[in-house]
Amino acid sequence: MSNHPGQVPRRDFLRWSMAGMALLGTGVSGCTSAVEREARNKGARAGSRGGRLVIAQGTDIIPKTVVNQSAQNATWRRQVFNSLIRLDRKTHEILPELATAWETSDGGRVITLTLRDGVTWHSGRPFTADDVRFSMEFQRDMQPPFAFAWLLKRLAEVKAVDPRTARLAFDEPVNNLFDALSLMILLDRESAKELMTGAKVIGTGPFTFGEYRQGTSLQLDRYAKYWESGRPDLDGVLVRVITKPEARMSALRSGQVHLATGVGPMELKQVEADRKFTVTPYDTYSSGVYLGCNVNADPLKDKRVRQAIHYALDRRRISDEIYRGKATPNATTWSAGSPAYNQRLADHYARDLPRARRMLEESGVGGAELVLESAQAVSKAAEIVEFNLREAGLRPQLRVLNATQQQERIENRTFEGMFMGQHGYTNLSPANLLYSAMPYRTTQNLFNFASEQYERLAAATLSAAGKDEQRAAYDAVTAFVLDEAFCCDLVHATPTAVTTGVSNWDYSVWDDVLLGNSTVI
Amino acid sequence: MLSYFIRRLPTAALTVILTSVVVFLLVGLLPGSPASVILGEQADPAAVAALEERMGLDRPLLWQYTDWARGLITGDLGASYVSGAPIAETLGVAAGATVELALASLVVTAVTGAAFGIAAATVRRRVPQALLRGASALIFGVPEYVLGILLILAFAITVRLLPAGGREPLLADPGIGIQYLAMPAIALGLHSGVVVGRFLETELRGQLEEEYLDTAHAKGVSARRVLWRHALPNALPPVITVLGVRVGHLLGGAVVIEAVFAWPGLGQVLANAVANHDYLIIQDLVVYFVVVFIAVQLVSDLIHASLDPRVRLDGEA
Amino acid sequence: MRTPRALRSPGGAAGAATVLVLVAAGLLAPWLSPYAPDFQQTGAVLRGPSAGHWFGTDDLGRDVLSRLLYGIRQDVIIIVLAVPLSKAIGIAIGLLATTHKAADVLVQRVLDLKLAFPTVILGAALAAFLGPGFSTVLIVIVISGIPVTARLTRTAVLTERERGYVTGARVVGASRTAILVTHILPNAVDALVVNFVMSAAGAVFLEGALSLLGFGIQPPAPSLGGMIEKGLPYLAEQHWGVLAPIAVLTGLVIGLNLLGDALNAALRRG
Repeated sequence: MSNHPGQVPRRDFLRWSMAGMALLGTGVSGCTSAVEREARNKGARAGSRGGRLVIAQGTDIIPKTVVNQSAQNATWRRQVFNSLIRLDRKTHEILPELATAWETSDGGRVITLTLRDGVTWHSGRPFTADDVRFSMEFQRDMQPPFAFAWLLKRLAEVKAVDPRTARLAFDEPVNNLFDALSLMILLDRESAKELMTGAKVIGTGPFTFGEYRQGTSLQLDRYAKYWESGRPDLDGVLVRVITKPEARMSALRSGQVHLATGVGPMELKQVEADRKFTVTPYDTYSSGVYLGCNVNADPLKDKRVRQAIHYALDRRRISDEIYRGKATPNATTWSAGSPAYNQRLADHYARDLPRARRMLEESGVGGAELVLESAQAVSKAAEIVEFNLREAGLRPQLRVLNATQQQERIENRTFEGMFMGQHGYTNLSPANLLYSAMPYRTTQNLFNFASEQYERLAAATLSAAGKDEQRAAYDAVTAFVLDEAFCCDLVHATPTAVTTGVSNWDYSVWDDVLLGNSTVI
Repeated sequence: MLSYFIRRLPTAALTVILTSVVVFLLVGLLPGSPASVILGEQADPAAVAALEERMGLDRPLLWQYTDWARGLITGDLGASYVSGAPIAETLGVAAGATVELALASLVVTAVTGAAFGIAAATVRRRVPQALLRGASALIFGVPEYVLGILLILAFAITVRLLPAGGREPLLADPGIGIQYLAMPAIALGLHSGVVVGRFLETELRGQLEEEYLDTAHAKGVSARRVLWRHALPNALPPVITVLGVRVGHLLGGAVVIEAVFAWPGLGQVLANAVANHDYLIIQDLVVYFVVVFIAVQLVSDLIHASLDPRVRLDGEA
Repeated sequence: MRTPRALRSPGGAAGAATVLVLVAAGLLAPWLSPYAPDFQQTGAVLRGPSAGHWFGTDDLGRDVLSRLLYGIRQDVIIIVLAVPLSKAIGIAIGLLATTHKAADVLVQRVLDLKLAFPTVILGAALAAFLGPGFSTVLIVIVISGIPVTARLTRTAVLTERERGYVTGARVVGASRTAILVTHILPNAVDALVVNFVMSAAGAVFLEGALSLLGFGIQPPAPSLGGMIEKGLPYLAEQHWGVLAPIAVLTGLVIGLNLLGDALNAALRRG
């Protein structure tokens, strides 16, 4: 057949197609492999400082929520902004940042802050006590609210005594001001409004806010006039948004990324065995997964129904199978590091399915249809909860809320039935949780639960003096919440970061990444 | 040529305008305003009204439409309701990634199409021929996204040769960039390659059976020369037209392939916008997608017209 | 009808057999599957194949085989609901186009509009406004099948109308509708059967694509595309959770395509 007209000798065809394959394959062979390549320090010049650090996070960056603790902004908020003080992560000892000294007087009603010299905003304007006044007033009144707005509302006055001295006067003594000050960032009065859109972001931190591309990346550049001499070491930081966990891990393994935050247990298995990577589970255990019931919605008005729901849940299975043992079952809001933690109460809602069924039957809601809404971040745990509730004889309908719905429903407190989400603050002063954490706070909590007794019990934790009295006050309010069951925690988890080729990075009590001293190796 | 173009233009423009009206009205007229969808059934009317105001949905429809349409044309798309970031920038960056993927997959389509077409038209032995047919039927039947997943399983998980997903811009670092690009481009382009290959095969067979090639062969011209100098050049114009039509298909397919490979292009922007109820971005993207599709259709029709005189004459008649 | 002849070709027979087996498995899911599709077994997350779970378990300890069978059932339900509806609307629109010149122009414009929308973009737009889920998938499949059917009907009617028997019937004095229903439509049935089978393949393909984008059927209800999407993050750990639905989905698409090709070939041979 070889002399048929038009037939190409097979050798030619092969050669031709090889050429095609070679064209496709350029770079796959021969060049550096994107999979195995060692972390390479792209920005570093010989003999110079720093280089550029690349961070990968799984959620989008949302500048307008930067004042609060959030996974979206944890990678950059403390690069661009300073706070007045910071807390040592282990001892909770107060350390200076923009305030170098603090003095309490008038029985805890007045706090005088001495401010650091030589601090400038990224716009070049010097930082003064008047900026402290502005930041506090702005974050007291802003919408969506700052987590400690309730505390700032108790301020009678913030006074700039002189450019280096600010005096805060409260109506009554407060015992957790420094928790608030360690979270509160200092905002520039000239650009605070534009911060909401990410159009102009000006702080006093070690890096300036550079090019921001929604859903993609944020560029941070070294601030040459940073107050801490010789800092930062890095020339810049690039925060990349890589939503797919597997893509985030590829980027890390290929050296495109030095630090990945919010790494799930599934992805950890890929890097745990490799010594090239450092796995850092945060020791804050700050994140509680909760399930609450809108007490205005039928049949969740009934306390027994809410209790039955919590008896039906398999907390152990959620921590073992979703968090692969890297979380602990806990029905209370206090994690082991908190002064209010009580093991007996934490185990209060140990699974008891027959009891849950019985309670539901008795309240006449066996087989009832109930809406279970869930934040994206805990949607897998919600699938287990949904199954548990079905086992208890309910007919739950799971709806995973998207970011916008979640944000708006949280602001307006309009959940249709049950809602599952995550809260912070489990590890600091218990007052934060009772007054700041949205699912639990005594007034305007997410689930519309209000009771004078709750407010009294919460206030008692603030006024309790001495260890025993405090212990009793904490246990009383905890038992009350467990009994009312408008919201209870399921498990307490901790964020995990994976790094390669980074030295001296740290994180705050609020899980914010700190890069002021970091270098890439 | 020009008159053909001009004749087609009003229809294209009308389609774009109609699309924009439909997309716009979907938000305005659907039962339950976007604000109440976001807030849910327990929301009180005041909260819904407040959110509508923030989303700019409280103004008269006509004003909303003209403002939006002007923005689409001038590129002043405003800010995302969800994140507050400028939409034009977001779309610009993502468009770069999508264009990179689409072009690369077009290369894959052209190369594999040529290989399949030439091989199918020239290989005569029964076993290789059957293998070739089987392979092309299989690829034709397998959805692009399935091929993508199989590639990930083979070359990112079983053999750790390529990254499972993500992107490094090709121009920034070609050596690394191509490793991210290879699998999504192949997954997206191979299917079209088979389509183009089948077409090329038919054209080539027709050409090779033409008598004059027999004559050329009789004169002692080598088979290879016959193929390269005579049959291929004649078969090419219609194949190029088909290739043009496939561009539209590639852009649509890219949306799904981007999801499989976490490729940060327009498809991902769209999927995220849908997930977050970011209506403005969805409306902008849908209209832009339609504009691009129509433009691609127009251009491939133009190419077709310039290659086939009958179409052009028809237009001028 | 030339349908039986199509089944005599090897491709047609293989396609028909594949589709038949898979559809039967889906319809018999309640009797065939070893577990309830949403039963979560504690302590059995992402297990590989075993005697108890032929295709292993997924990330919530659910039996992959059972979900697969119910997933096929879900896809079959979608096909059975969406494709005939899509054809009916398509035929109606196609017929409308043949009644009047103005109607024809209008129909062509509207179809142009639809053709300018890539189907996944249409899916995105609908998912945004209706929310993702069963009804969105259904509507996308219905709309995506309309233009081809409408054009096919229009062409078939226009062609048949010129044939002898129609002219004959007209001479005898039959009404336009009567001619359409008794003479023209039956002759277009073959083309529509091919179109129907091809659309079914398209429906399976689309369900998968929409699911991957997050617009598809929502958990805990199983669907082929949904299983692929939910299984992808665990591809390295439990690839059967993805490979099984992929194999079935591809089998359905290829089977239906083969069947359609064979029908088409039989039709052309007349």
